[in-house]
Amino acid sequence: MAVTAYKTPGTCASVDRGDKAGWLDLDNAKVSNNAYAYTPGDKNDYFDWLRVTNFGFTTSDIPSGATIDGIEIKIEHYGTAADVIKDSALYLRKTSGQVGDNKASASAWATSDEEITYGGAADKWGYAWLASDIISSNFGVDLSPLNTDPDNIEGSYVDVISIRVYYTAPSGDHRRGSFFKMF
Amino acid sequence: MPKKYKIMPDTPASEVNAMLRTSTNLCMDDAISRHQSMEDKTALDMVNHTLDKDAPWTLLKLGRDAPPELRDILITKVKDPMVAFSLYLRLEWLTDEEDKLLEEKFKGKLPTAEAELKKGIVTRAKHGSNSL
Repeated sequence: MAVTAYKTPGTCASVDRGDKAGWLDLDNAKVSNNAYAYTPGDKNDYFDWLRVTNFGFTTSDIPSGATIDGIEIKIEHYGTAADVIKDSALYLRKTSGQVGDNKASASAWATSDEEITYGGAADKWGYAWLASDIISSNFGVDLSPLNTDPDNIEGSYVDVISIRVYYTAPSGDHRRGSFFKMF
Repeated sequence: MPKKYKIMPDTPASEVNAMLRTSTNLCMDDAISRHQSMEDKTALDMVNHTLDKDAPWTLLKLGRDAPPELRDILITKVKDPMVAFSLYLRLEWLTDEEDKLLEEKFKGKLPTAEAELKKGIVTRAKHGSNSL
């Protein structure tokens, strides 16, 4: 099994999830630099989607026809108050939209920048991925946090979301190519 | 002896709203504003007309003081799996039947969160924790 380097998004968007609190300073989620995309938040509610896509995976990273074994994402984030901001929903997405499992954690976000890992080498997030899904510029992550505080407006801050992909290269392809080249 | 609740189905909605106003640290809340339109009705009417989006907030604020027949109407209005899971962690007064109502809303839909509960990474207030 091989693994790509961690890649970060080229595109960040705030996408409506039922007219909830939206995201600001979106491009700050492209790089880990302690500048943050954030939502000012609301009380006792979830927020709009932070959609990050265009991770720039190419066939140099994942050969065509490779078997996708697992996907791992890291999110650097924090909440504005202790024990109240958590994930509401966390999905991977492809061109057709969100697919697979909602990997949201029920653990509260820290009040200072922390990095949380989701998925891993053998975790396909409940979906049969093709290499072409991941090489697409539409491959990415949808994250919607939740404020569980019924009385106070609290916000969520995201420094960066990064992804790496575990795969097995199609070992037979080169041999078959060489064989046909002989004729 | 059956438990006595401060709020019963026939409690005037005006009394329920007065309780809501004293239980929030804000002088006025959007949900309270919406509930105020039911001032001349009963608690049952108010709960029945509670918007889905206000149901979790109302459960947090009034659930301890209301009987299961009112709480269950509010629980039925909870739609989002993680909101249901968070209430499941947080509300220590849930009956076993109410546990099941909430479980139906998130079971099998939140693999990470459900694994965290199994491993004890997050815990239920009903079982003695103060987890949110």
